[in-house]
Formats: sequence, C-alpha cells, structure tokens
Amino acid sequence: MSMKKRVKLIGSALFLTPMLLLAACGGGNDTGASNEDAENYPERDISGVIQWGEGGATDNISRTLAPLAEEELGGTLVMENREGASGATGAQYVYDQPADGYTLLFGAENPNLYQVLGISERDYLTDFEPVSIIGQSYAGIVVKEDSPFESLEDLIDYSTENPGDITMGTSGEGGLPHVASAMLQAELGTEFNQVPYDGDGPLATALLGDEIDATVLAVSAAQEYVESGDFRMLAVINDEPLDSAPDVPAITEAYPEFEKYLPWGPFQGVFAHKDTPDAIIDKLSDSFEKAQENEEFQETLENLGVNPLNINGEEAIEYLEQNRSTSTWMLYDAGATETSPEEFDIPRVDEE
Amino acid sequence: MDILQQFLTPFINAELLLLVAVGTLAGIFVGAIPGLSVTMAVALLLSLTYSWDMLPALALMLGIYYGGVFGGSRAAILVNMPGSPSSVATSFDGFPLSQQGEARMALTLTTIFSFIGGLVGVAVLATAAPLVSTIAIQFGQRDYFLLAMLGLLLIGSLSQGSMAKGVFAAGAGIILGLVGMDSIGGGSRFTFGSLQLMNGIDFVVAILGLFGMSEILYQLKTLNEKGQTVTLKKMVFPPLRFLFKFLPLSMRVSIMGVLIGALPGAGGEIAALLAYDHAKRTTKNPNRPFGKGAYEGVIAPEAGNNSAIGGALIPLLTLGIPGDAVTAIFIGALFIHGLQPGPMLMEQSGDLFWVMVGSSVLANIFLLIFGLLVVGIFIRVVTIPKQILLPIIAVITVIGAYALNNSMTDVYWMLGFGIVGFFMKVHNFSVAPLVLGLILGPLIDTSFRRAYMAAQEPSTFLLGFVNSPISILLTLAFIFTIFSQTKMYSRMKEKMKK
Amino acid sequence: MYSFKSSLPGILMVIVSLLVLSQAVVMENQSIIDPASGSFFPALIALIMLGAGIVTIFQDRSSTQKKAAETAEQENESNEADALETFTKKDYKLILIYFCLVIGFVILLPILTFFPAAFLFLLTSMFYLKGVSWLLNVTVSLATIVVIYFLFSQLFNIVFP
Repeated sequence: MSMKKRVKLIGSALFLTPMLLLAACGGGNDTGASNEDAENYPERDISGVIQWGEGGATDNISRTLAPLAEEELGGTLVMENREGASGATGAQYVYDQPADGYTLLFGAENPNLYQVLGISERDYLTDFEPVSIIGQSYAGIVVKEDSPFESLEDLIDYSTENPGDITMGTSGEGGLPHVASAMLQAELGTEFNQVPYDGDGPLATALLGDEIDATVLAVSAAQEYVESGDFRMLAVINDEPLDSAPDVPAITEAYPEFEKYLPWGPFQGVFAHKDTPDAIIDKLSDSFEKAQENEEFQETLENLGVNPLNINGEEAIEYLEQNRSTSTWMLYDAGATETSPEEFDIPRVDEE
Repeated sequence: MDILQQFLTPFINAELLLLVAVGTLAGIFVGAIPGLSVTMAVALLLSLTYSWDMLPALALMLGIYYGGVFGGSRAAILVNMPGSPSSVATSFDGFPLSQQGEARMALTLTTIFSFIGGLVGVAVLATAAPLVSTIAIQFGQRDYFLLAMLGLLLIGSLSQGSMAKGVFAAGAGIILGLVGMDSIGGGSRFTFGSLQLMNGIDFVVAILGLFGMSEILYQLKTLNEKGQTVTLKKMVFPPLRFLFKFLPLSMRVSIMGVLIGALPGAGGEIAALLAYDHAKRTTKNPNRPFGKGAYEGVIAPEAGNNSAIGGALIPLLTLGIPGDAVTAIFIGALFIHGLQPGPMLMEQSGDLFWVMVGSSVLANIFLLIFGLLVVGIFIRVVTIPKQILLPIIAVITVIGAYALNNSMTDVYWMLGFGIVGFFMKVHNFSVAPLVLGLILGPLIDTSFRRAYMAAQEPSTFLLGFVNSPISILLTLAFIFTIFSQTKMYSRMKEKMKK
Repeated sequence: MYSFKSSLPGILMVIVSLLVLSQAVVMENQSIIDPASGSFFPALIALIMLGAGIVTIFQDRSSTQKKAAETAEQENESNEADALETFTKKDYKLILIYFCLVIGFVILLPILTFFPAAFLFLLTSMFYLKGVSWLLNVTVSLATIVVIYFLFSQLFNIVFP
C-alpha cells in the first residue's frame, strides 16, 4: 500500500468513517421489533457482542470476521466486548435484547456449561439459534521440558498413585483444563491439586515458572513453547494426531476409552436470540458462511490454530448438542459439579 | 549493522514515522478523556488495521499505547479525574498543584519525566529483555502477594489524620474489589444474586465517581466565591536545575517501573503507586508536603507508569506472554498478521523486535514534543468558569461510566461512589486508600489463595516466604517498611545521628 | 448527645464491617476457616475493618474529651472543623439539587436517548448555576454534545442507551 493511500486511510479511519456512519444510522430509530421484513434486513447497525475480553481468541476471531461479514450483509456490525462471569454477562445481554437479529452473540464454548455449573440460566441450545459455528481448536496436555513425566502414562500413573500431589493449572470452572481434568478423573481415576489461573497466558507463565506441574492448553498456544524447548506436550485430546503437531500422540493411543468423547474442544460461533425470524437467521447464516470462505480469514484461523468448521443450521445444532453432552456429563461424572445434566434434559453421549 | 538498520527503520520510513506520530497524538487525547481507554482504542485498531501490513499496524498501536498511558495524567492533574488506574497516583499531588495555579508546571514536569521514564523502559527492553523476562517468570504467586501488600502499606502515608479510618477505607475498597464472580472458586461473592454484579465493580467506575463526580459536588461550594477560576502562575518552562534535581528519583522509579511492568500479573497502576510510595519515603525536603502538591509526587508515578510500558513489552516479545490488557491485544495483532508470538518470536522475526524498540523510542520523542505542545490547550480547561466546566465534566463522567461496559448499572454505581466520595471529602476522609484497596484487593486475594492452594499446607506455605530469593527480598522489604513506620525506628535513627 | 455524635463515624464503621462479615459467613459453598476458599480473605478484611471501627470510636471519644477539656489544637481536628463549618445549609441545598439534576439526567438518558437528555441537562444545569448567558449556554451545550457524540459513539462505536 502506498504511503499516500495509507495517509488517506488513516484520515478516513479517524474522521470520515464516523461521518459516513452518522449518515447511515440516520433512519435508525424505528425499532419495529421482530416483524421487520427479512428482505430489507439489515436496515440499521447490527450490534455484535463478544462474550470475552479484548485480546482473547474469541475477540480476535470475531473482530477479523466482522468486516468480512459486513460486506456480505451490506450492513454495519458494531462490535463490543461484554466480558465477565465466564461470558455469561454477554450471553444474558444478547438474550435480553429484542429477537430481531440486530444483536448477535460472538461466543465460545462456555454457555454450554452455564446451567450445570450454576453460572447462569442461559444455554446455547435452549436460548439461542446458531448463525454459524466458525471453528474448533484442540487441547493438549503439557508439562515443562525438565519434568520427570515423559509420557501421558507416566503422569496418569503417578497421579493415581499419589492423589493430589500433582498441581494442575486450570483456567477456572468450566475452562479447558478443568473439563479435561474431569475427563481424566472420570475415566482413569486421577486426582490433581487444581489451582485456577486467568487463562492460557497466565497458565503458560505459571508452568514456565514451575508453579504448576502440568496443564492443558490450546494446542496453538502451547506449540510455540514446545518448539522452543520449554514445554513437552504429552498428548492431544483428539482421536488422531494433529497436522500441526504430528509428533504428539493422540490421547486415544494410550487410552482408547476416550473415543466416545471426541471430537471435543473449544469452539467459537455466532449466535442470535432463539425467537429471531427464520428468514433473518438464514440470511445471517448465508452471509457468515460466505464471509468465512475468505482466504485471508482462513489463514488467520490457521495462525490461531483453529480448525475451520463453518457450519450452520441443523449441523451446527448437532455439533452443539454433542459438545454439551460431552462436557456436562464429564464434569458430573468427575464430581466437579453436583447438578446432574439430566435436570436440564441433556442426554449422555453414549445414548446418542 | 542489521540491528541498527532495523532500529532506525521507523525513523527513516516516512509512513511509520507518521503513524507513530498520529498514534501518539491521538493516544494523548484518548487517554485524557475519562471513560475512553487505551485498551478500547487499540482493540478498535485491531479490526481497522486488519488489511494493513504488520509493521504499520503495530507502529500505530504502539503510538496510541504510549500516548494513552501518558494522556491519562492530563485529566488527573487538571480536573482530578484520572483517565485510567495507572494515573490515580498522579492525581494525589497533581490536582493540588493545579489548584494552586501550578497546572502548567505539573503538566510540563510530567511530560518531561514521562519521556525519561519511557526511554528508560525502552533501554531496558533493548538491552536486558531476556534477563528481565527470566526474573519475571520466576515471580511466583507468593511474590505477587508480597508486592501487593507492599503497595497496601501506602495506606499509612495516604490516610490523612486517622490511620484507623485509612485502614477501614482500604478494607472497604478491597471488599468492593472482590464483588463479583470469584475467579478461583467459581462462586459469586457479595453479589446478592444479581447478574449485573457478577461482573464485579469496574475500578474505573469507582475512580470516576470517587474522584470525578465527588469533585464536581465539592466544587459547587466555591462556585460563587470570587476568583472562581484558578489564576495561572506564569511559568514558561521549569528551570533546568529541576531536571537534575529530579533525575535520580526518576531513574530509580523508572527501573522499578520496568520490572513491575514486566510482571505478567502487575502493570502500570501498581508501578505508579509504588513509585509514589518510594518518592514519598525517600524525599527529605519536598517543595510542599506530599498530598498538597509535591513535585516529586507527580514525577515519580508518571515516570513509573511510562517505563512500565517498556516492561510490559518484554514478556510479550520474549515469551509471547502479555504484560497487561493492551499487550494482550498486541498478541492478537501478531497472530492475525501471521506471526506466532511465543518464545520463538525473537528468533523467527528478530527484525520485529528492533522495529518495535525503534518505534517505542520514536513514540517517546513524539510524546515529549506533543506533550509540551498541547500543554497550552489542556491548560485552558482550568480557566473555564466552573458554571460551564462542571456540567460538561458531569456529562463526560456519566457517559464515560456508561461507555466502559455499555451498562447503565455502572452509571448508578458511579453516582453512588460520587456521593460517598463527597461525604468522605467533607469529613476529611481521604478517598485514596479506598481506591488503593480496589486496585490491589483482587490481586492480593487471588495470589494469596493460589500460593496457598499450590502449597496445600500452612507449613509449606509459610516456608515459601523464605525459600526463593525473590520472596526473601520482598519479605524483608515488607518487614522493613512496616518497621520504618514505627516510633522505635525514628528513635533509632536519631540515636544514629547523634 | 454530643458524645454520640462524635462517635457516629466509628459506630457506622462497626456496623458496615459487621454487615460485610455476616455476608462473608453466609457465602455459599465456602468454608471460612480454609485460607484457600473465597470467604476466608473477605472475613479477615471484615475483622480488620471492625478493629479499625472500634479504635476510631475510642479515638474520637478521647479526642472530644480532650477538646472539651483543653480545646485541642490538633491540626487535623481544626481542619475537619473548618471543612464542616464552611459547608452551610445553602451549600448543601445547592449540592443536593445539583446532584438530583445529575440523577435526572441519568434516568432520562435511556428514555430520551443521548442527544435530548444531555442537551436538556446541560441547559438546565448551566442555567441553574447562573452566570452564563443564554447564547453561550446553548452554544456550549450543543458543542459539548456533538463532540462527545462524535468521540464516543462514532469513533469508539459505543452504542448509547
């Protein structure tokens, strides 16, 4: 991009765009609720609520996807972060807005667990309609390079023999390491001393600083430290090794009983209120589907270690159901929650 | 040779130069407006610069970062409304200075010493990044606990009059800071079943209320008195001897600032508070007592929080670990532009490191230039008649509180804090300990509990305090600071003199 | 009566700390004696606050006794008295009414939307505080709103209520 062009861009970025926006929202005050004709949708700005804070994976993906979706939709997406309470604040906010497709939730996997963990009453399947599931990441079990545990079996054996001796860093209730620990506990009877941290970054720091013995990180986040020789990844939680980490064994190699839980991992998606008119959902789904086909966006996902899914409609609902059943029952079986998923009519994975 | 070339890139490349300049200038204003935060600005730039090349995008974001942290102190000095937590400490002496007609002096001094602090930060980043990041990584939960406790000792110097009232206010601040979802246990605390409260109380909301709104109400009293506007003392530039006089102090707090900034769990706000504390303890004869307009009281926190930026970039560039909310967005930017931030970043794209260092130096230079140039604009705020200024600030406070989380609940909280802050002022209760508790409370809570959980037993936990060199050092510093506030110490000192 | 008034701050402090303490004790799923749980630390803080409150009651009592006896010349006390004295009933009335104006603005904000609510607030508050001509008042109000709207809503994409 030439210098002149860039100057122009900054200029427009800082001053012109707002003016255009001002013109665009001129007629935006007629809040005609849900009866709006889908043909004319969107007639005003759509608000995109990101349920995690600035700089997180959900934020990065949402903010890169938004401008692409805008082109397809022919409208403006105004993105805002409403983080807090494991994302429950953002989910609740979107649920409280009129079901007219003008408020979208850009969320991660967390709402699947809200009910069972007692965080919130909201739930993807009962309260929201998936517009698009963007992609899924994978989780890996990591230890520090100088750790005595050479393989997953070492770690499991030690922790079953010495319950509570291994300190496992987690990212709080319902987070990746918490659910993965529950998975190990439910199937193999391991017991870890769980210490919660604020996310992937602090977990990596804690592992580097020898505060914790092991943790579960998104493979993309951990891979860098594995390459630099700081961490060792013992297994990926998947039924086959990943392209991005071909040397790391899949968890099913040593413990085939995990097969029934897979595929499982964190995901990101776009959601609308359950009562949004179907025509608007369809239009949104189409737009987001096309937007995700953008090559640059696919590269961004790859950089973030996200496996693109780009699914919507029935397929997306099935995906959500499977993920929710796996996570909730795992937590319940491991005793991490006393609320049975049955109370919310969540079927067991095996029964599907 | 390569390094020098990369370092100089932003100076030679007109495009990068311009972007850093635009970013710094915009950052100063964004930071100066309460309710608009650097984090918000940088997050917006993330999608705006999506299609750009990486270096221009980073240059612009870096400019905003430096400008924004600096800009926060403008409002702290002029209207007693710190734009961000990291400029809270600046308001302790900055606002009294401006009330005594020395706003120009305060603004100029802070600009110069922010520049110096910023440069120290970059210098450490450029020369000792791997070393500092190794230390930062070794900083355990117990050490964060000790660091926060050290910060909490500031209550002693911040509570005017009664120490007991100061302790109480700090305790109340801590409790307010703990409201919301418990990030460790997962349950909720002091929320009374409200989802709104699950989010916790944003401390910027508290600052807007305790400092901004309460100040508006307090100022109404003197509304109709004659000489309603502060007469500005004529002062073109601080005398050169000031520069030399304050240089040693600013260097010390800058080094502190870099180290604290480099810690992934602590940032500019704690750096500024400890810098203020340090200044107060080491300055023997301030021009005025601290809290009433000491020059050292504005210089130290400003040098501290600007040097913390260089510190925050250290774990980002060496380990791919963010040092604060803004650097977390930088990580996102690197990902989006195809880089893998992590321990391999320096090896894979070493040029990035030196371009960032170069841009940081440049941002500091622009900060000095623009900072001094806009003093004239900012200073006018003080001369606006209160009848006009107060309503405008009221609107900004309300909108600012709303804008933080797009929530009306926050606005009501802000009003509540405003009325509490007003009555505290009337009854000579300092609000500073309350804010101190709000900022430090959550850190003390989480670090203490994590350290305890990892140790599993009280004996192992206590042993930890004398097990690692960093912990020993901090424990000793803590004990010494407490001891130095006792009468026994001052008696001993007198004896020594004799 | 006088001694009660002087120990009022201390009594208030004690009441607040007891409230906090009770909230910490009834916290769900937490055990107050386990240092790793969520209620141990708040309970500890509440106890410290309680201690500070009790100390304040005694301090205030002894200082007022002293005052009565020898009209204490302690700097803090006189400062406090100064600050309290300069706030007349008229001042309080002005402040109270102005605060109500701000509350009114906040209540109207989601109802009227930002533009009219802020305009109305600026107009009335500048009128109420007196000393500003109508022309200046309207100009300043309009300019402020436009600048704030541009900055917050357009540049920073904040959706106003």
